Amino acid sequence: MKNNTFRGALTVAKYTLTQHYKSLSVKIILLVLAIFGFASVPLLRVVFETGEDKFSLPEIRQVYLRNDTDMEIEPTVFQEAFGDGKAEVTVSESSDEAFGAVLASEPTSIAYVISEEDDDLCVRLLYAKDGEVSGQSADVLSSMGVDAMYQVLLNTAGVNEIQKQTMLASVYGDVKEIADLHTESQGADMEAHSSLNLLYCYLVIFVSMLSMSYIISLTLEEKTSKLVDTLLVSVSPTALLAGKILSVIIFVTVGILVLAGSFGVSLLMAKSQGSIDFLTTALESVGAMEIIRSIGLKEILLLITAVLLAYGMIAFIASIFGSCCSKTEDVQYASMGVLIVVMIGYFAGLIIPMVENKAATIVASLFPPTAMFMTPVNYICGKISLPVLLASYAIQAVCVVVLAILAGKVYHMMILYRGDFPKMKQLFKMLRENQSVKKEGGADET
Amino acid sequence: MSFEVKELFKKYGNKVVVDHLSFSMPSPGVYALLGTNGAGKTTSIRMMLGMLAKDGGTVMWNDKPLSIDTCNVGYLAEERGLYPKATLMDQLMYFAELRGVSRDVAKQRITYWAERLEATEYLFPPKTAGKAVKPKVADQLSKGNQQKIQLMVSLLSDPELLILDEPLSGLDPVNADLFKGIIREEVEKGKYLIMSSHQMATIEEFCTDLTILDRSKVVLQGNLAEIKKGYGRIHLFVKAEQELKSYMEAAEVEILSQVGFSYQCKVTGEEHANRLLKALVADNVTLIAFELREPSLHEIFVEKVGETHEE
Repeated sequence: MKNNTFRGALTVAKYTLTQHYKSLSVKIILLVLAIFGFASVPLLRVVFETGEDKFSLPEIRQVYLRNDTDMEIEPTVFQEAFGDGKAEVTVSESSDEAFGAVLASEPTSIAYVISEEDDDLCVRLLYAKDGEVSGQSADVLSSMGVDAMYQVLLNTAGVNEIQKQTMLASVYGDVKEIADLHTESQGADMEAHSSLNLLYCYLVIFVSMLSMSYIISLTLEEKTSKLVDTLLVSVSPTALLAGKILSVIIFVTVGILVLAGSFGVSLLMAKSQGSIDFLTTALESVGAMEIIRSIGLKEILLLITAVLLAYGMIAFIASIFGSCCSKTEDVQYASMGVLIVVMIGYFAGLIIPMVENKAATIVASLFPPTAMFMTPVNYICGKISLPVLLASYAIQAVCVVVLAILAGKVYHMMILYRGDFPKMKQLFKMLRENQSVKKEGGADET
Repeated sequence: MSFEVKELFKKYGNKVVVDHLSFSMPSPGVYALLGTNGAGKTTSIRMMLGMLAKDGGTVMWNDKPLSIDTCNVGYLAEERGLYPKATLMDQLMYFAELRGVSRDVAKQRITYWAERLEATEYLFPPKTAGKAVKPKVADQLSKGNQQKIQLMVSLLSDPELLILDEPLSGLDPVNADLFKGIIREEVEKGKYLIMSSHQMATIEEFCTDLTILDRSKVVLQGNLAEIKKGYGRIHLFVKAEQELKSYMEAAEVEILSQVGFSYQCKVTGEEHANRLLKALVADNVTLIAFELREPSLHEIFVEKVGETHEE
């Protein structure tokens, strides 16, 4: 009946999308995505903004210095410690009690008391209870005093700058196998790689979950609504499936745009109200900041290609499973089938970067179910070469084409099928029989 | 224009479900495709429309293979439904667009058919107290009213060939008459109709030619009038005010059923009926009814299908 295989696909896509966006559940999904995207920035701030980021040293105008030792102490060293030049360092002989009265009346003042205790030197910081100094800032000011006193000692001993650096340089131990050193030199460290791959896995999972159940329900829709015969007079099963998948692509893209858009708006708002250093902190905490900075247009295009390939595979797998459903109860079997494929890839995406095995990484990057969850990140992190990446994309592209053809055949064959959810063996037997009928020249529909 | 099905064949595994079905419609009219449940009617229709792969045979419209390019087909399927949550207007516009009908023409046709099928209130809900009423979705309609919308879907493209699979099943007598009126109009417009139904009286009312299928095979085919003529007037109905069994036996008339003094009988020739009538008149038996007639389609169907089941 139908001569043009794809005629009507756009009409199907348009109608499916229009109806979809009219439903309340979809509006809720989009709202949730928008809220999630918008809330992500404050959430990241809460998680990654440390106390240090919030802390700023109070403005100190007056520093009193009392030397209870026999040593000669140059106040300029302390002056240099407060590099902004706003603080005035005054040597004082006042008692602790006198300091108490002075500091209480001068909230921006502090006092250092240098004393000898046994064979050690002590730098005691004095500050008023209700002044500018309190808690964490007192600790920092105390450290500054200690550092200044250390400088005084070095100066007294006549140590020059190079000798100072040599003395202050720390020495620590580390153990590494030669193979580990080789691996490390080939790319980002494990933590950064794992973290980025986890982010990418979330993106693929998000796309998969958003489209999987939608595709399954769409492939079943006409069967449950008893509209198959009515529709097949006007449109081929292939066009019907193509239209539905197209509508899902648009829906998922809109979903991603809503999420990204609301995240962007939230980020802009956060920036306008202050620093967004917490994001850098977040990325730096997993060592991914350098990798993120190195991402350019090429890497973005590679990522988009990878997501599209992953989407293609999952969409067609979902449509194959969805086509086998005859009734709403079958959806659970179909969802389970797709979920197993997705989970295999997801867990591989989590584990492989941790294993840090080059051979395993390459194999997983080439094997389509796992490749869709890791290939671009493996490349960006320097774990696989460009030829391996391209080979992986080529294999995935072939898989998408094969799955698309298979999905078309299965949908065509199963659209009038009514019965139990077929087992894979049964499905392939039916496909073989269907194919042999066509080879014999009986079937002439396009 | 002509419609021709030749040697249509289909099997699932080793089971033949349509066994070399052939028929033709050289001119407009109604062709009936009858059969028991599972005889292969719907499978045949699906093959004709290319929904199902044929294992053999051809389906021609004007000597060209039937396709959406060569023929404008309307199909009211036996398994029919609507998108439950979509508004009726959205669905009708969608189906019209799929058939290549422009939006303006589609709106005109929807308005016409809505009035003709008395479904205007569902498609164009009137305003209540100045407020627009939400358009109806399929789920809100009764089965009969849904069937009206489904018939509209099949008629929206103004088809040349209309295939109606059980068009009247589930309809109340009023709506059945409405549908019959539309079928009659379509025939008068010169359309080709293929109708499948279990309601023999309806088929008899419309069809000129028919095929009866039973378990995938054609058991009877031809012009209905000629088929009936071929059977002859062998069915006799007699109603009297007294027992007539002895007269029947004497005239070699076979009684098929008896209710009170009403008899459904079968005769092998008209002479037996004449002999019975003469005997009854001679004995001054009061007769209320005495009708010698050709068999109805129902009787032919039961007889033909019964024969194959006895084999």
